[in-house]
Amino acid sequence: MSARNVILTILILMFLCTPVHAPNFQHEEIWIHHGTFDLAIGERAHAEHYTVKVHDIQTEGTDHSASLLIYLSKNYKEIFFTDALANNEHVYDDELKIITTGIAEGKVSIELYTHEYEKVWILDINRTKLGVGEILDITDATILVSGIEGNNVTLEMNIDDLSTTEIYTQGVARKYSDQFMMRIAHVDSNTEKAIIEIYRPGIPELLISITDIKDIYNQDEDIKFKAFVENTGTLPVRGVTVTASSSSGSLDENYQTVPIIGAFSDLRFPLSIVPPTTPTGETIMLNARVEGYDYKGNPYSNSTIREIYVNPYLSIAKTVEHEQIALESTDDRPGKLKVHLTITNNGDLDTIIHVHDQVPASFLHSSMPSLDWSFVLRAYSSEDITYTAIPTRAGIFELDPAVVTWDTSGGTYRISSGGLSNISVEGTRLVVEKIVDRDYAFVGESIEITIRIHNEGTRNVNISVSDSLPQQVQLIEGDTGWNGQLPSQETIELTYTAEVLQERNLELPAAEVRYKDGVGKTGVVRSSPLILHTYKNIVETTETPGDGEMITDETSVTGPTQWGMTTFLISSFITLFCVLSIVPVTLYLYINRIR
Amino acid sequence: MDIYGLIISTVIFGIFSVLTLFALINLSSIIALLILIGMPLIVVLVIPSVATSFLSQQHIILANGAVPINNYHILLLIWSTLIGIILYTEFLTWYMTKARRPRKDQNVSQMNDNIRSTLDQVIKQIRDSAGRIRNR
Repeated sequence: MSARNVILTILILMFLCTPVHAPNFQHEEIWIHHGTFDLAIGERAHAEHYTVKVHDIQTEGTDHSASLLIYLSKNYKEIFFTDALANNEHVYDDELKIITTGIAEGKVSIELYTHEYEKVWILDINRTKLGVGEILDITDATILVSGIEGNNVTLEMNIDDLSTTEIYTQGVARKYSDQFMMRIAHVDSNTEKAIIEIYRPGIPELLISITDIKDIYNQDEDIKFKAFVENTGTLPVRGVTVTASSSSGSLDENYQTVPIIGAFSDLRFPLSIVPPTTPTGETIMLNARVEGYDYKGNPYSNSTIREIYVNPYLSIAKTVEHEQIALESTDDRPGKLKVHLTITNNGDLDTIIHVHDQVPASFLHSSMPSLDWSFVLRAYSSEDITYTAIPTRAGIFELDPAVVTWDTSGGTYRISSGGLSNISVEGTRLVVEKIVDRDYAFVGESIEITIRIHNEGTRNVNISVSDSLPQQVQLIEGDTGWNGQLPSQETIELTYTAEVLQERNLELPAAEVRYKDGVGKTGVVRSSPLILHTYKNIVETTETPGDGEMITDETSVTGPTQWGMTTFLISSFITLFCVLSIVPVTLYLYINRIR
Repeated sequence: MDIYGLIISTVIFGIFSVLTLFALINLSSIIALLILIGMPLIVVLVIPSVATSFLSQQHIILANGAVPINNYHILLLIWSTLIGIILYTEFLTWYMTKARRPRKDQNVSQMNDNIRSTLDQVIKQIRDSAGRIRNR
């Protein structure tokens, strides 16, 4: 490589590595607000390296004035006289400005500003390339490119209802108001196009959120979290204060402050709460608020709320040693259910507690008479309870939570352990039900009989269902038998229809299910027999009438005859007459006798 | 429930009850009783099929199907109510008529007889006592 190439490479690298400086037209000499202070005699306010101290306050009638001292890096610099009227503004060394906003009740209210050169103007919209005769129309301005000559652009502008014609040179920026600045970034004389940039003052934007926090806390653990503050705006925000509050419990430090958060920057404020002592658990509302101001003193704020839950100071945990057990103990499945209860007292008082637990009805807990315990649980301690239960039938069972009750502060409180996974007891168990769709039936009616088989066990089984009907019932539709496989925890239903032939109470015999499971175990399960009351139809019709429907077909009447009906009505009438006559006739006889 | 059947039944039984009460008030108890038994009997004898269908019309079923309520039950209910009204009307009429009869003279004569017999007994005792004293 020749020396020329090396020099050229170095020059290119130097060009690429040159720090990029923002155009200085975006920067301005500004007075930066550092806060408003109410100071009594002897009190001080700080703004960067400067300190302002109230030396004296004088009162003459209704007029007040004060003497303030200025320090720079703790070195006295000068004293000046101020009041809230004509002498309310004082500038020291073109670096510190003090504005007195009021003097009352022995206090001087001042605002402090320091002089800075900062980026204030931010590009508002994307750069726009305009040719001659083209218009840029934005909210508060209309800009027409009326001519381009070399690096000069002639613009006819209407800004805030004021019309003007300006000649811009490439790179020139002009400010038209506190809210509007325009710049010609580039002029292309070949294509006669100009690139226009619109700038406006930036604004900060504060966001706050609560992070690094759980949803649920125990009573004995500190609730530590962070208030995450972001400035998503385009200007720094100053005098940032974060205040936190909670609906319950006590905050260690509820007020924090930082002098500045830059544009597009963030900061985390660590906070913590000592949770309240609660017997029932409590929902706490956390509130975090951030406040700050821009260089003009305009305030900005935001807040957020987060809900957390604090567990009661007593807690109970329920665990089982094996979730899969067997009716008869095997190598990998014990024959007993072993339950552990752990009760913890995180409170600062000894407490008399009552513990109650239960196992499914098919489990026997022979080792102890009942699953109830009462004892004193010391403060900041825990107790363990262990018991065993023996399963008596196969299936999958849901364990209920254990419960602790105790009395405190004039009330009775109750907590329970969390949910547990199901307990599986290895084995085969079938439940057979036989169901008929009605309690009684008339002769000639159809009845629907359903046999429902549920495999409650943990093994798949092959089953053979058989059912029979008495002579008074005739099968119309369906089958009374079925063969097939029934998986664990599944149910099948076998339904058939039969017709009642005779008026007689029927005993429908039990359905029988023979099974063989995966390990070769066989057995027979039967349903309960059913009783069906049957009646003879009084009125037989060619069509079955609906409820309340009047029968009008004369030939269909096969019930009581005409004379039978007459006899029934007369006898009913006489009977009612005699029964109702008893009292008045008795009274008649009684009254006549005593006369 | 057949709502139209229920409405028709209510209207028929209503007319029947009003007719009976009208006869009771304006005619006599006997005629009311005759209407009460006679009208259903005539209907059953003249148009037995319609009467049977009407009376067996079911409105509601109680106790899970064990107690069906039809127009037979409603007819018996109306019968028992109206028979009760007729009987007690008759009884109260008799009683009030009986209580209003004047019985003052009869009472006075009975009282005089009682006083007279009492006085006779007292005089007889005085005579006996006087006779015994005289014999001594």
